[in-house]
Amino acid sequence: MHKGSAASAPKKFLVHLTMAIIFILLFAFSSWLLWLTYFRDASQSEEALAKRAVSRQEMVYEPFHGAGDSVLEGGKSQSWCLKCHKDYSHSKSKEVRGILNAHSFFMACEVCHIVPKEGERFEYKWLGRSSNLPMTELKGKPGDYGGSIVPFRAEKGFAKRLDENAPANLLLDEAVTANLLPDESGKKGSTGDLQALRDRLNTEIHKDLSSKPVFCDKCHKENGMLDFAQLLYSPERAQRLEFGDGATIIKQYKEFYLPSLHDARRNQ
Amino acid sequence: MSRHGKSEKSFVRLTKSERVQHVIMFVSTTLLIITGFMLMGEKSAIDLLGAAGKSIFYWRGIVHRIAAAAVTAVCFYHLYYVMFKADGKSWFRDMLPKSRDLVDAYQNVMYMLGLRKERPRLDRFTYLEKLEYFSVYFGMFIVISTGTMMWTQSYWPKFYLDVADALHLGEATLAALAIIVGHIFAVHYHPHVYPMNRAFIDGKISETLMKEEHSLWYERIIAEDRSKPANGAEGGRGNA
Repeated sequence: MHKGSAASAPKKFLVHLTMAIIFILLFAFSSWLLWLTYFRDASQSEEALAKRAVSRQEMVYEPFHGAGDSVLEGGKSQSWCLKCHKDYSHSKSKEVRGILNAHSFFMACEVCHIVPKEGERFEYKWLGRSSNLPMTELKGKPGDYGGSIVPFRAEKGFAKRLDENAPANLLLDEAVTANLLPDESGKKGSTGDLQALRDRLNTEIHKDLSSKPVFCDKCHKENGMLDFAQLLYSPERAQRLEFGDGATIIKQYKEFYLPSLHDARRNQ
Repeated sequence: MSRHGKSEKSFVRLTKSERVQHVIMFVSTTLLIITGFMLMGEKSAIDLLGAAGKSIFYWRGIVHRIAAAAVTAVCFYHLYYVMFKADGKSWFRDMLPKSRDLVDAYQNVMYMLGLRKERPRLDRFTYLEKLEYFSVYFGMFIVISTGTMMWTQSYWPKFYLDVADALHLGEATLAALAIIVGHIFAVHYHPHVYPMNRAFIDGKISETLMKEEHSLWYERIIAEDRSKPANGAEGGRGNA
């Protein structure tokens, strides 16, 4: 019907070869898309599907209120700081206390409240809540992986857990005996001469703590204080913790401006 | 390599503006498909990237958003083009579906089944091209609106984001398959144009291909040219 091309045989072969390779690549990609759409879910268990759904959701978006199970079930933190400071230990700043308290669900207080000295670098590990052993993978729902992030400092060739303080624990036992600690309603006991014990407690327990804790942007950035990939997070999750929306907000705003919903109405 | 000789008379199929719009659309859509479907990869495959995976996925998100912005811009420009530019108005007018398209489709199917001796005589845009063109309108409306929702996720309830996510993925899958199976076959692997229809590069269509694929349009241009004084060596633009 039409005249043949004047192109040489090697050139023709090269064109046919290129078109064949492109065809194979496109065919493979199309087949993969069809498999994704119609067949991948059919060959997987309900559990695997649920796991992938969570994983994909982590990669794309993660509404803050979506990860609420750990809130409903309780963080199960074993930090002894909470004996005095209780569940909502961060209460000074109304604007950010919710975010800080949420972190205490899965982090030892010392992660933020013991700041490494200049040139010093702590090691951070997930320890299983029940086993107290380093975890090898993160299982479960975001926000409740069954463990806590704990800081370690290298001391005399050993890695020392910084969330353990034996002398302070002994003093705490004394404090319990003396009814010094606050009860569930937050009221402190009033029996006995307690000032001396209270002073010793404050000194001993807080001696390693930094006056200014680590701020959010020390961790939620590239090459920050926490290596999220080393902390067993998936590459996507690690990336999100470094560069995600929350991290971006932290980078851009040192001050949080919240709407004055009710105050404004009351003042009218 | 095209079977249509270079010395053959040619006609303008795509204007410069249309070719630029096509290139932006082609590059952006390719990037969107690659960076979008990376999210659907198996975790084990992503883990193979090792430490580089973090940077790759960081740039994935940025490239996806830049490509999305480019494709959105070209879509809006195309709306402006078909509404206010003479070439664009002509394009859109000829692209509008007509009852004849149904007849063309029926006759073409009969021809391909061997139940009709001759192919139907087609105009400037065939029924398949019209279908493909308006599918892009539909698809772009879906992916741009749902993509914008996911980009501004903090303003939307989770339920709406879940719906947007499902629609975005579904439309992206449909569009990718339509491009590969329909468009790439039509402009690269169809025997009439193999290995490529060069119209997206030089904007021209050969006289032979005009007669084969758009005989009605061809006859209209020839008739218009005959009614005008002699002009250049190349064929006319049709009714633009």
